[in-house]
Amino acid sequence: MDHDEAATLLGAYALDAVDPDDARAVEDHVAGCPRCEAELSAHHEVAGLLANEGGEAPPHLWDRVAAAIGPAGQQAGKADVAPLLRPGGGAPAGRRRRRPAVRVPHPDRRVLRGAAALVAAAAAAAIVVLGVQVNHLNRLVQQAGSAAQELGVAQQAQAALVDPAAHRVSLGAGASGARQLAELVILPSGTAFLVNVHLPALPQQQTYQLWGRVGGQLVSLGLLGPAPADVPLRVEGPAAGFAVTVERAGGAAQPTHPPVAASATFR
Amino acid sequence: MIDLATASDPMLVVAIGRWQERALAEAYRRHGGAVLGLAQRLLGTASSAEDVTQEVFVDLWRRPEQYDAARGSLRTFLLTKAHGKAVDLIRSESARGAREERSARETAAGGYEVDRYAWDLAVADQVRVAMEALPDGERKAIEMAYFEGRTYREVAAVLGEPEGTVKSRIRSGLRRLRDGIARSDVDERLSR
Repeated sequence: MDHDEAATLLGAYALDAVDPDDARAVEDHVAGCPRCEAELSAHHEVAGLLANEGGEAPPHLWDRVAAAIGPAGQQAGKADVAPLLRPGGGAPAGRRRRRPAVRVPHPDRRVLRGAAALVAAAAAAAIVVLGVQVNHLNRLVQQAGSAAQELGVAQQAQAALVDPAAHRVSLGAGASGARQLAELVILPSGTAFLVNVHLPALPQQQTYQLWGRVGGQLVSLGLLGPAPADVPLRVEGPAAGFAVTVERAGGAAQPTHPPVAASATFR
Repeated sequence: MIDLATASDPMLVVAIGRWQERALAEAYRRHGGAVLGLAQRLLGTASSAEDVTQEVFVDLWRRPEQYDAARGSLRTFLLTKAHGKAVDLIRSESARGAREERSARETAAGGYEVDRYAWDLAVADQVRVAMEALPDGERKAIEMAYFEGRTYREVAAVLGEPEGTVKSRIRSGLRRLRDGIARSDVDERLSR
């Protein structure tokens, strides 16, 4: 299918209104055509607004989701689907270890403005009609400004950097660790960020992995991906040293290579 | 500790990638209603709509890397998934009866349904205005394709229009909607 033919189908494709053969042909074309990819994203966004009926998420349906993902999910679903973070979180069997690539979004400005307008309209309506419902506002803002959301990681990392209570650990290369490749900022709450990252990008089949030494054991603190920037992490308990290794994309239970960067306390 | 209640959607997806079930629960809390609402609108039956919703969130749990924040919001991603699954069901034989029943009910009710919640209503209001501003042919084609799960060929057959016309109307209608939403009155007031 050539560009013109694929382009005329983009609208129908975005609404799932093409036959399977056409769908495959459109997908093949879009995969190699940034212009069509951008147009398709825009159509999907509009379709998402068309369908935006909202409504409460029924708890009984969460129970079904939780049951389907395994015992760990059922636990998480108690407390009324409450937005509480349980530290750690078990790894259910059968799920491949991986870290999703979350890239900085670059949505169309006009749509962001439109979305901002929707938020404003929504705010006005609710103040008049129902009073302030923070939950719903959050939800709308969430969906409106994914750019702002993603900025949140960098902003939180910056805030952590200037937090006087934060513990900062330099991760350096070489025996002396003189060349700093990244810095770990750990807040008293256990929230941590890997910042000032200068680790060279890896092939997609590999990932950086962060380790902490706790009581003589090396514990994985998370996969950093093949090209890490600011990464949010959890650092539990009193880790006595930190190191970064290169591992296969899925990560490893224990380091399989010597560290490419480590804290002074690790060496 | 990262507060999931205030975490951004992309942060939630990162947490889901690290098997934090509560992050999935939070994503469900935020978007489950919208996903279920869309599935119900297309499928008409509560049980198959719930099946679709369940599948969408289980898929997010199993393959969070499919979501790419650069391509749009998490809700759009989930709704797109739900729409695809619902349409698959509609096009299967087993759902035919339910679909006919639903179409009849919709015809009886008529018009563009007003939404249930104030916030979503405000959003939907802007969308409704933009929908109403569309030329009839474009609006009808989009509604039949999106909310009735028909292919553009089926829409063309029902309306007795050439397939190429319907195809272009859907595309131009979506573009016009996008412009309409972006240029709403409120938006202009905001940007002054």
